[in-house]
Amino acid sequence: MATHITPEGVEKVAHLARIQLSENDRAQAVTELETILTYMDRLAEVDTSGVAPYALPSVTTAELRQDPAKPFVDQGSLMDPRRFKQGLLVTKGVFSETGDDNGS
Amino acid sequence: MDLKSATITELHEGLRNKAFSSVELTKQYLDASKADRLNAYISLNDKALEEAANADRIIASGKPTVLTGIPLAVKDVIMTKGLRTTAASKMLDDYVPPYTATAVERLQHAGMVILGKTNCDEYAMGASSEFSAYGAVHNPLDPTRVAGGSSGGSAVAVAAGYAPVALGTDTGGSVRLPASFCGVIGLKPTYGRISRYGLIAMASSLDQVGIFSRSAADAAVVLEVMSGQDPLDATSQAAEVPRYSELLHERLPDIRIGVPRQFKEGLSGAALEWFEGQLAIYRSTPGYTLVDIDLPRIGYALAVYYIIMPSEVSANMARYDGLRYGYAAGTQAQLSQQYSENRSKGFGPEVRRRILLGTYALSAGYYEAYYAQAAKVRTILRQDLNTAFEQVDAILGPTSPTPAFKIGEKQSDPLNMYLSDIYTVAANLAGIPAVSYPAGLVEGLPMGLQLMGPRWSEARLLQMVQAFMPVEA
Repeated sequence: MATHITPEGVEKVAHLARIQLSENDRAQAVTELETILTYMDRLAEVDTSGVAPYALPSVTTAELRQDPAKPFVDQGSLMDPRRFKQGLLVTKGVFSETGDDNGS
Repeated sequence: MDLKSATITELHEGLRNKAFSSVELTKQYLDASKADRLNAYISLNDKALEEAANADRIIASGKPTVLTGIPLAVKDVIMTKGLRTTAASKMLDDYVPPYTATAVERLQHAGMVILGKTNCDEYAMGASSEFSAYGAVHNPLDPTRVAGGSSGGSAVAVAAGYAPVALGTDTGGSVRLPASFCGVIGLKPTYGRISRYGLIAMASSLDQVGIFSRSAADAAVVLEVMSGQDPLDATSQAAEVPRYSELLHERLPDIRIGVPRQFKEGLSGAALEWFEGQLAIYRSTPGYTLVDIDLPRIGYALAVYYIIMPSEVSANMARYDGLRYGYAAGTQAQLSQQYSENRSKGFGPEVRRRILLGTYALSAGYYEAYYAQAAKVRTILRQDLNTAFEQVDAILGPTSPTPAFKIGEKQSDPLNMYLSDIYTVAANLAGIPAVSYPAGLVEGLPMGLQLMGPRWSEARLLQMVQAFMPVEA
């Protein structure tokens, strides 16, 4: 039986998907994906020569809406008091040496 | 009023005749939901009574719709403005949407009252409603068993009397399977019938909002209000919306029902005996002609689905990086490490498994063998079903190979869990409507029969359900 995926292959896929895997997770993923992909092998039995891949039926072009200038009036939904600390809006820290929310 | 059996029609009459108010009705459902031990809900709507009071004012004005004041449960992958929407995931544990899904908005405009958000498999990925960050949903007929998934909470809400009607989502059977397990009706419409705007995307070419109800009439009226093109969803279709509830009253013509040979071959034991019994009933009922049909490639549908769906999942889940919204672990400094940590800790095991599977199927070197091949086989399956519908009006089969299984029985065996969808995935792949309706018991547990029809045939399917449901052994 052909092997579909190796631990290195799972690690590569996990990197592409931005998912961290522990050693146990990786081993489990190899076993599970191998079982699933073995089942999927049956698709190779189907003769698809000359068959076009499925495409969604007649997707209409998304309409462009009018874009008039008008004041934003839904400040309330953005100014939830739970988002404030000491009168300042708290956001997640991105650029921080420590990576914490209040990093400077 | 028996909440476990009341239909929308009965509730509407009660509201119109002032037998009770929407506030009283909503309070009864909320009280029942608060006493829930089946874990059907994640959140209850703290504005439900306010919405009900508003509905009562509309009823008093003499201008209600048939849905005014009727409570509704909504699966927690459908956005509701101001009401927490978690997708049953740690990733969105504290997420409060800034907008409401079009499907729900249309029902709210018709006067429905949102009771709360129902529990489900995380991001709608599962067949049992066990993969929720908020615990498994239990079957009301036997709490040691699953409710089915992924829309288990919505199925339980209707079956257990916590709501008269509920919304779910169906990507590969996630409305029909829990409907079968819980003994209620579950309808998946034609792809494009109901807007997907505000539906947290799982697999965009397969997802549809679906309906749980106790009667075909209830499903019809809710479907009628939700259906129709939406400029906010480019995949919603402009096909005319029939008056489904009026069409139910039309006399059903003689119906040719196809029974694929392959569907019977997939059953065994008590389930096969049950299915043969159901077929015997229909053979002996005037107006229905059962036709043996052959769908030689239907056996590949599950493999097609479990390549196409995780591939689309892997793309749709890429937005969850924990920066703009969603779970953030907050321990890593490097951006790429933040992404990985947030996603690994924010997503549960089934979500991570499907992302990995889909990423693999789309990756260089494997795309042709997996995704491209699956997309072509999908075309073939669609053609096979269209050919079958030239001979028959609908295709009949079991919704599931088994009744509800025990909680924990399949959690550690993903492929075995995926096989639960074996009868349901074809309808999603072909974009056709399908409905599961309760059709007796197997070993004391509900089993559903599934009807599939050509695109836009929801009216005929609901007519059949209305006609068939009283047919019992």
